[in-house]
Amino acid sequence: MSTAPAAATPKKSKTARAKLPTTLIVTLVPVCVALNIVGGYIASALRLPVYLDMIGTAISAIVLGPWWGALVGVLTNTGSALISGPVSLPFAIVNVVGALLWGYGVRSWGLGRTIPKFFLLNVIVAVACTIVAAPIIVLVFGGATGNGADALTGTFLAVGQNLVGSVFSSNILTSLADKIIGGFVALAIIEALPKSLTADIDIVKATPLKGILLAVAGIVIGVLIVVVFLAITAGSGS
Amino acid sequence: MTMTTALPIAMIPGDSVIHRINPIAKLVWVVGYIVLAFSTQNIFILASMAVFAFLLGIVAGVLKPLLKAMIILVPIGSSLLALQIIAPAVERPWTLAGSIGPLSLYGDGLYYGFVLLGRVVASLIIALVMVMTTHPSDLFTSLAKLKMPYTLNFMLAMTLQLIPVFQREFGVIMSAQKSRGMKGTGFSAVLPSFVPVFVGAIERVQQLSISLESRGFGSDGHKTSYRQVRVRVRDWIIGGLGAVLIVGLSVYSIIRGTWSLSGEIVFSGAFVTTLFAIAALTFFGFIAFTIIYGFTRK
Repeated sequence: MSTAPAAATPKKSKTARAKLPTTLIVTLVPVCVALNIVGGYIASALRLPVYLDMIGTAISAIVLGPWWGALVGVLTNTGSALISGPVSLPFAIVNVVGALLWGYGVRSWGLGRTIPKFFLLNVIVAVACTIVAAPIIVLVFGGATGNGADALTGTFLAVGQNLVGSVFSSNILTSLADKIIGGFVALAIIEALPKSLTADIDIVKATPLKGILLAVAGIVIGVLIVVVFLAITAGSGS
Repeated sequence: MTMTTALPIAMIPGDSVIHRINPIAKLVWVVGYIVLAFSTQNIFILASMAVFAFLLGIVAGVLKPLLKAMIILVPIGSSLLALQIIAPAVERPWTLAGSIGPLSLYGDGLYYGFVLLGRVVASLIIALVMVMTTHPSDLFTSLAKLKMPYTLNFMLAMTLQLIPVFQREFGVIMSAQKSRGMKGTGFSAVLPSFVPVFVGAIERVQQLSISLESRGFGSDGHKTSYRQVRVRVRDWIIGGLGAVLIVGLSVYSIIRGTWSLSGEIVFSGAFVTTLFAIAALTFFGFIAFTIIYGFTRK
């Protein structure tokens, strides 16, 4: 669409990012929100064991800025509250934390410059999201999430880990796979976006997903060994 | 990829008494339900709330879609009960009710499991009844009257409109990719399906942005709406009644320290064990069914 810069001209402002017109942001935010919700739907249609429902958050946080990403996060959970009930509302905080980390990570801390750095950023996002999500899962759902990971939570409980620890341990595994794969899918999408949107973002070129999947498998197995070890230690200690 | 599994988003058209209530009055009830549900641990209140919301659904004539949308509660509800029985999210001491293999089962956990489930069920049913009986435009017009920022309102309304559009687009793209020999499932299908859907959607943003610009989005002046929402005396009474009832019960519950009856209600060991077995089997059965169904479906 070569006509976009014409729309941009009347709304010039002093900041570098404000060259994106308000109307573009006002439309990009709901598109990213809808993509978050549809992303989760696509992941289940492709029968993937991950959610991939924060890709819109990652894209908006990296392209528009962390706080726009946070708005996308809040609207995602508000929107899904209107679709599937209000129980998803508290998880808006998880979405906001993810958005701020992705946004500041790429735009301020330079964690998007190389593939290893971007990988590390996604690991940080995954851990932070789990730290925020685990207490919410315990308080609102008593530790249940309704997917296969609950069996793992039950196993950790059976060996003597406490409830928050068990939820954290099983959630970190799904979260790592989800955020790392989601982050790299977002990277591939950002690369394919019009240059007018991504010109001033310092981010590495996307890489084939196969290598990333192997790395994800490695890290998930590694973390699984650690959390099982911790659960057994906690069980024998109590 | 069939597109029959759309999100249970749509309003069910109708002319029931629930449909005709003002959206804000309904919103008061939904918010009130959530406030009350999370300030009490009295399972009788929670169960009555769920039953009342369910009755509203029947009056509104949305029973069938309501039940369909509530299927999501089966895995999470059964897993919630099972996990709570083996690890109650309340402070110790817990009362041991029995054991299966290495697992100790606790009666307090079952009570608290019922509390959590009651909260989720009650707030989900009332919210679904509201969504299914309220035209989204009416809701947003009403919110605008309550001085909700126009831009925020617009973004939320647009999101709801875009979801089915993108779902449709995903269907088209998947068909196109499959016709080129792409596998329809698994990680190999992630990039070929996500990237075109997302990039196509974001590129569309520029057209939308221009059309908003040309319609003077963000300009000052009085905004009008095609759909008019009236506030009648009846709506004031319903909203007010809801607010008074819910605030009253919430305050009373908080005064009585969440009004938990876990001390008074003692479940027998056999009951706890049976329920645990049923919950665990339902959960694993559901997961197994989803996996098998997922792999056999064409």
